[in-house]
Amino acid sequence: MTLSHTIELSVNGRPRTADVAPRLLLVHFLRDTLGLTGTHSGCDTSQCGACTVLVDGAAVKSCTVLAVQVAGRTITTVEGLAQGERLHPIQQAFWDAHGLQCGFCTPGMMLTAIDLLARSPHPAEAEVREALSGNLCRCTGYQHIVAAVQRAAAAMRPTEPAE
Amino acid sequence: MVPAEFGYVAPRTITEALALLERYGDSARLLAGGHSLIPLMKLRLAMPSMLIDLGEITELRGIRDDSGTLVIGATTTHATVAANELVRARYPVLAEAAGQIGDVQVRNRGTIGGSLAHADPAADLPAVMLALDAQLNICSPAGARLVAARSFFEGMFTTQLAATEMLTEIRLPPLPARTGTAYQKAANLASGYAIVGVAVVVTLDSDGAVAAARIGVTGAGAQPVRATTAEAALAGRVPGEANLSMAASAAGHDIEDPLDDMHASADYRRHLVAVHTRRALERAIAAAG
Amino acid sequence: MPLHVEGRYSFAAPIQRVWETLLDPAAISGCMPGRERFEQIGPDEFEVTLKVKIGPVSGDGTARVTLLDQHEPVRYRMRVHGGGGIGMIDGAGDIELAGSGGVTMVTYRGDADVTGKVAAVGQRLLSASAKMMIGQFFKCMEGRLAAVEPRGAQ
Ligand SMILES: Cc1cc2nc3c(=O)[nH]c(=O)nc-3n(C[C@H](O)[C@H](O)[C@H](O)COP(=O)(O)OP(=O)(O)OC[C@H]3O[C@@H](n4cnc5c(N)ncnc54)[C@H](O)[C@@H]3O)c2cc1C
Ligand code: FES
Ligand code: FES
Repeated sequence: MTLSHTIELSVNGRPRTADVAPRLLLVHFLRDTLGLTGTHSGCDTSQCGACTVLVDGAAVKSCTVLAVQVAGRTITTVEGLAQGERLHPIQQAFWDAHGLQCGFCTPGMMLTAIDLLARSPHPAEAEVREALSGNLCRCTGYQHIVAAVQRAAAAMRPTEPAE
Repeated sequence: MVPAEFGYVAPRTITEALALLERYGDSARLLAGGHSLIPLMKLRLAMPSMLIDLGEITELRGIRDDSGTLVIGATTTHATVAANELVRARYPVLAEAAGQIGDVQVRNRGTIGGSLAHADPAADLPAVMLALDAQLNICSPAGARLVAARSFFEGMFTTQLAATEMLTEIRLPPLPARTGTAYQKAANLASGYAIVGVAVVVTLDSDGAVAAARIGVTGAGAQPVRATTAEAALAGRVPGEANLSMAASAAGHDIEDPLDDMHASADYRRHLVAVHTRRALERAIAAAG
Repeated sequence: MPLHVEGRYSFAAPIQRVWETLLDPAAISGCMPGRERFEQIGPDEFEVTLKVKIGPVSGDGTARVTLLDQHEPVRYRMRVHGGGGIGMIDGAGDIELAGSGGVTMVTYRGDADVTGKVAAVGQRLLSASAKMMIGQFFKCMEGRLAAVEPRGAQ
């Protein structure tokens, strides 16, 4: 019953192989097995979004996914966003627009925002707020976070002619 | 919180999954998006000893047209349903309801089949299935059967599905011309679940009278129901203030035994059903043109 | 957390027969949803082990059920105390019978304190589950009454 399963997957562009017990949650796999502690565990009850990561580009709450369920998939965590010293536009925007204070909710906020911007490059403010409704922030307040996402949206559309 | 120990298999075909379900019997559970089952397992309110993951079965996923009937695979996610062009064009009420489930992350994992099989009394999609008169395709090692959504739901968390059965497809019959639809919900602000949800499908005839109306209500009682008295109050009449308000209040009373809990009293739930039925009807009738 | 239940159920049988059935240990045992074990430990006291399964949720527990303040055939009180892995319950309810012709209306009203896991995480579904189980219990009682009906009626 406790038989472990061997899973192969890609995490932040790196192929990984690991033996995991079926009951191991993705959040614990990332934090404890791989040491990627940028994925935070907040409520542990699918409410707060702090544990959000991308699975094949889609934002999911990793406290409510089993590691065995993502065998063969491509995972992106906050550690996979920056290119060396260069911050990802969403990270830069959170920095510039003061989209964080303690930073606990920030990885989840940013990954959820990336899912949104991939689907909708020109989100209206209401759309940003709706998209972030599964992510709770206890200190910054949402005003700056929404502004950061809109700033990132503008920065991530380089192919369009500037006005 | 960590689930109790369990075994795990991820079959690649429906046939394989059904054989596994038969082999492991009552102690096994199917795993779709896991967004109802995994939280229960973490709390150890559910402790299956074997999970059969449907995530690798490609034939269970996706949306296709079958000569006018729209067929949605059981493991199609809420996000995919909400964004699908065919769903948006033909059954806007389904896209609307699926797009309001929980939040983005929940919609990226949760599946239509999981939601219907789980039969949470506060789930959104059951009301929509009743209003659309959906047919559910259920498979077991013995074969397949089609069950109308109307007879599928039997109570809280309880459906027609036997332990060895799997929901494989949702089949939506075409809607006639001059049909409008709408979904209205009073959401629990924390979870997004429906305190009350009302799905309406209205067809008008050439004189602008109601040729058919179907009203599905979720959240109000232990199981989703059709508001049949309200439907009858509309049939054959040109919608106007008098019969709309009659239908709305009839819908409130169509809930035989409303839930009564910390979120809403029984009376308030009846009131919400009436208010949201009225709003949904107005929108659906406007859309029917 | 507090749990309040109330409701009514109508039986197509005269009040005396409904009373006898509702208080018959064999009928109570037979109609308890999910009963695993039922033991009479006193004249009006039972120990019951239930295994309840509602969809994917299952839990078991043992409770002591006492029937008090019996005013045959119109009113009695039931106390329930016990629990198991998923929570504890401590409560009591009043059951009233009113007969008219061959029909008996049974009205119940009860309050309990529920603690433990199910109270912490299952509040949304607690009252509905309680209602459902009470409904199953009465429905089963109704079946028992109907099963013996022909003898009396013919
Ligand atoms: C934070 C949060 C908020 C939510 N908000 C809402 C909301 O606002 N509205 C709403 O409607 N829902 C809501 N949900 C529930 C969500 O929609 C779930 O995804 C859905 O109810 C269950 O689908 P699933 O695919 O996750 O099923 P799972 O959790 O995998 O399975 C649920 C049950 O169904 C069974 N099952 C699954 N698939 C099948 C099948 N094909 N055949 C037979 N049995 C099957 C499983 O064995 C299990 O018992 C929310 C969930 C969370 C975590
Ligand atoms: S830790 Fe996963 S949603 Fe809060
Ligand atoms: S920055 Fe502190 S919780 Fe959001």
